[in-house]
Amino acid sequence: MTDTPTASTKIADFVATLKPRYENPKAAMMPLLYEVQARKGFISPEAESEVAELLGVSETEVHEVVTFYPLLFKRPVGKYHIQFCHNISCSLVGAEPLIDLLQKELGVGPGEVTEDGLFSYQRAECLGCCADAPVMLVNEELFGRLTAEKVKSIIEQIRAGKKPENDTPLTDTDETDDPVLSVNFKIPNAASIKIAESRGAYKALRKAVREMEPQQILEEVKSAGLRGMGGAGFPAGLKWSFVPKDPSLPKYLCVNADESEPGTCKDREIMRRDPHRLIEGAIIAARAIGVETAYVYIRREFYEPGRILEGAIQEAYDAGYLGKNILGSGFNLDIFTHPGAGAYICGEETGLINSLEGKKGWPRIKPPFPAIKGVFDKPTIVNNVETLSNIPYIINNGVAAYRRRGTEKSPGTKLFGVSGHVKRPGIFELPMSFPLKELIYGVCGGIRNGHTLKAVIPGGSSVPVLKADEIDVKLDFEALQAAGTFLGSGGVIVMDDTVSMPWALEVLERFYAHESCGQCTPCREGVAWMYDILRRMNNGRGRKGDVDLLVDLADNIDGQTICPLGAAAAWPVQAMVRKFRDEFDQLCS
Amino acid sequence: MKIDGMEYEFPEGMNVLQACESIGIHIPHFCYHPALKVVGSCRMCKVEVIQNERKRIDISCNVMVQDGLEIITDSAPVRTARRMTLEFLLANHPLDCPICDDAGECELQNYYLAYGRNDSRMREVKRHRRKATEIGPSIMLDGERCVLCSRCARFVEEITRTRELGIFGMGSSEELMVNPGASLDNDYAGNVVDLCPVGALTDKDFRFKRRVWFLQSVPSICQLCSRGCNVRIDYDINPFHEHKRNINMRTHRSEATRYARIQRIKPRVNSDVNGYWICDRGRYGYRSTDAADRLLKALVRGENGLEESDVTKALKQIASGVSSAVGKGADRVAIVVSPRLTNEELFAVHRLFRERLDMPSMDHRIPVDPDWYGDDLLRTPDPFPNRTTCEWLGIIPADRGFGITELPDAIASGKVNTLISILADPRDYLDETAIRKLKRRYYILRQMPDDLREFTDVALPAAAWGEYRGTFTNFNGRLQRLEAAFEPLGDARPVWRLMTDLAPLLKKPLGLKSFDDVFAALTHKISLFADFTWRNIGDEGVMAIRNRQEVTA
Ligand SMILES: Cc1cc2nc3c(=O)[nH]c(=O)nc-3n(C[C@H](O)[C@H](O)[C@H](O)COP(=O)(O)O)c2cc1C
Ligand code: SF4
Ligand code: SF4
Ligand code: FES
Repeated sequence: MTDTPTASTKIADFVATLKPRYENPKAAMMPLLYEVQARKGFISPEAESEVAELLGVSETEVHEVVTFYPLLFKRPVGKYHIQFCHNISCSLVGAEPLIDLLQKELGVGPGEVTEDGLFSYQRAECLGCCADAPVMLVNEELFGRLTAEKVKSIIEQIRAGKKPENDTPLTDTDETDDPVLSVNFKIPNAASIKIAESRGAYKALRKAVREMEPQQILEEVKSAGLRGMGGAGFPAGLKWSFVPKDPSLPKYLCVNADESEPGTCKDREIMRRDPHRLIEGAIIAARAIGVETAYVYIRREFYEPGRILEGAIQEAYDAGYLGKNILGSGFNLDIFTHPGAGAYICGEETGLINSLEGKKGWPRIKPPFPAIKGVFDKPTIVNNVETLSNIPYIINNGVAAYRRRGTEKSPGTKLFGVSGHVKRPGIFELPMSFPLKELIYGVCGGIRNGHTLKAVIPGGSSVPVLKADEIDVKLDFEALQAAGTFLGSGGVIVMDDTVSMPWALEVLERFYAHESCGQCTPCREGVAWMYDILRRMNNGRGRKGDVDLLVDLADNIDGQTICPLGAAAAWPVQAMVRKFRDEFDQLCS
Repeated sequence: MKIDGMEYEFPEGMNVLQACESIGIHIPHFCYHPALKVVGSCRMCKVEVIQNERKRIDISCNVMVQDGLEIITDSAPVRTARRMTLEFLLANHPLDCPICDDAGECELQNYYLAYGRNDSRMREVKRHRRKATEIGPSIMLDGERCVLCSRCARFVEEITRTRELGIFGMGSSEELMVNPGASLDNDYAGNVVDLCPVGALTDKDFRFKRRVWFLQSVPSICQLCSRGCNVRIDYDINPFHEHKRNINMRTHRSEATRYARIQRIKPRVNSDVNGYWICDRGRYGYRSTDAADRLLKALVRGENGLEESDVTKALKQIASGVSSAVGKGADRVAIVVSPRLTNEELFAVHRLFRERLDMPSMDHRIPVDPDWYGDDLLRTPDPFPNRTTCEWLGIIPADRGFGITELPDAIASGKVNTLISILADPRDYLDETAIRKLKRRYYILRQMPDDLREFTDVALPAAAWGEYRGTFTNFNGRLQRLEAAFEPLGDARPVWRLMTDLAPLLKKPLGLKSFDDVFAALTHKISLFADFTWRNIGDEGVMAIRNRQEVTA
């Protein structure tokens, strides 16, 4: 396709609509690149130059961004581009044979396009739908609970020119009594503002802007003891209190909807089933911190949740909950969604900030911390989707009600996403400190038939694994830490006795090696090295000394890097080797 | 605060890495550079930090000095962290040190010797990147040697703002490269070679030329514009190395047929003048010293045209010519002096011709090459290194004298019939008819273009940059020293020496025997220099006037 003058004028118009969203026009890079990609199918060198010109940045900056993110295509892809997840949760339930099948069906390798131009596929890292594993995205549509028949039939239907039938069941959920987060999960159309309002949405917002001073909101959240649900568990109120109070200084809130930690699939359910809870929480948080612009940084693979969330944001504008003078209070807030592009590291808060600014998602060194110098070098709070979604409940029901469950330090409830070898994977809201054993054997119905439990990763792929005999623990921040692991993001990955730990570890390290942003020496070089060793081991070419080397490398990556991704890659190695050393040694005799 | 058990005080805003360096403790590092933003990515500069009674390992480049901080720069965890960073960097490194230009001045080599020295545990297939890639007219990139410190990329982003380089891709497959279709072609491109801590970026100009350990160095001042960037001349005057090279590497013959002494020019750090950088013209503009057309013998016009002669005979010829011209009036002799001369040379010229012989027709304002331009980084609009002293000495026409702009008329009317042109090709400011009309054409030159010979009566060979000591005064009034790297070639000598030798022949001896005499006399002559000695000027120079730009503006 060649560029007609009208096409390029239109793109200029598009840029003009984007620019006012950001302090620096460069931040419009990602949405603009997607627009270019949508028009031409991929991003050509000429398109890079055009984007550079439109945004007033150098071509090098654009090229850096285009080559960094997996979802920006440097070459044409098929009319139907398939991303098949090969990460741990999907691999545990048979992703690899399905990818082989897909490859055979299509007759092309990853990254290639079929002769008829209809298909291309790529192996994808975790798509954030682990409870629906195995999953694949066909363009923007997610297909889950895949089987060989389903994969074949989807391909056949597309070949026949039909829209493939999608029978992926809605992710299984369950809630505790008086749920905080999932109260609307089973309500049809709760994403529509009418229904959400009829169930109490934006009541807390009214209270927060009419009856409370921003400082009061902050204090309330602080005393509720709300912890960050993105992985680190940092107390939300405390984090907010680090933001300078100076009212003349612009401040930003970033909602972290990048959800990419393998095994984690909870934020997605909030956004697709109850987006107004998140929006309301974000507005109240913005009010407390003094923010007038908030961004939801949402991973691109969340097409459906993204569309639902954007629709909900529009409704909230129309209802006067967003925009100027919200509910007559004089408080203004804009919320914009901003797309990621397939890089896990953009979930790390400073990687997210750089990515939002239209750069590669390279995390920043701290200090300075985002609360002082974040987006556009202004004070910024990054909070996870789930964290913010707790806020309406806290404002409506008060600290005591929130603290009724959980422990002193880990109060409230939490969404747990369970994937792997359980009978009933899904997203479950449970009180903090719920017993892990009961989650697996009670809520999730136990291990699939004929097998026994071998190991559990309790908080997303990064946290140290627990052996079957170590699962008598409570699911809260402190109890899991005492057990030598972390609550992390609450992504529980269950592995039965069929799983080879060296194999599972290879899958994880493949992920971290792929996702290292490449800045820090130990992470860039060391994680890829660990992955190479594991791959060799699993291919029957293990050597004496490999296991010790693996652990030594992990020990010297852990804690030696800018962001915790290095450590996140090291912990599984340290824990798996320590707890299942025999399996590794056997491969290296 | 405490470093390795000793109490120190440091100014606020310094990082721990700088603080340690300032007390002589070197902290190994790759990505940190004082002129660039801190990125903290190489992880080499780790130290132990004790703060609020808690001990941690941290990168010294991003910890600021503050009260109560305690730093331990050498301990088992620090050594392990450094050793491991090196092991990670070397895991995929090609280890082609024997053919790497950077061998001998490579931080990876140095640090490995100091902190690494482990047995290799890498058994995997090494990752490969593009080798020997020409990324600009003067720069080669070896992607496999790159440690991804991003210094070069930050340089083109933050300093030149030209952004030709980027780190493309992600994770272990990322690569430092020029943007596709671009070329690292800016006026400061050569600096990336100095910034590169390893041999990933090498200078085509120095590629495979010399092992760096054969080089000797002297501090000097760039003579190619009025900033006077501080540089180091790296030279090799041992022909043995040249022989070895010609036997072993026949493919790389130097373009000069004569054996070249200067091998390369490197910036010296001077925060008051050039910071860490020099421009490419200064970096690569050293060839004239060892050029094939260097004037090595005096030339005197005799019966058979221009003939080689000894310098004394040539000086006598000039002396007699000048004497007879002056007999008809001192203004008959025009003296044109390039502002490329050192202070000492300018002084000697001025003392002899203006002070002793009272010649009014003297000027330094030769035209500036129209292709030269300044910028807002280092290059000034004036391509001459020493105009300031010309002005301070008054190397301009006196009453009744003729300046360069009046010369054509003065020559046409016969008022000037003798020209002494010092380090300036007369064709730069006179047309051929005028030069032909002159009765006597005496030049002091470093190079003798063939097509100038027919317009020459006497030519004296001048020492070239690198062959003389001296001082320049830069555009800002800063007095800076140049050291001689080696002896002048042939019969060439510094202009001040030619003046002290010519003076007695004109019956006006200057009484200056050595360079030191000339320098001392200069500091008497220019009162702004009164406090300065060769020694106290130092390697960094001194301000002769607080800020000349402000004063004259
Ligand atoms: C490698 C890496 C990936 C991360 N990915 C996510 C993510 O996908 N979503 C998220 O909310 N937090 C993620 N985090 C945590 C964020 O850095 C940050 O702590 C969090 O968004 C803060 O919000 P919270 O305090 O509300 O949890 C990640 C951290 C790291 C180190
Ligand atoms: S630890 Fe890894 S992912 Fe994090 S900044 Fe360093 S290189 Fe990037
Ligand atoms: S080429 Fe040299 S300066 Fe540039 S990133 Fe690589 S090692 Fe650093
Ligand atoms: S010099 Fe400090 S991390 Fe590179």
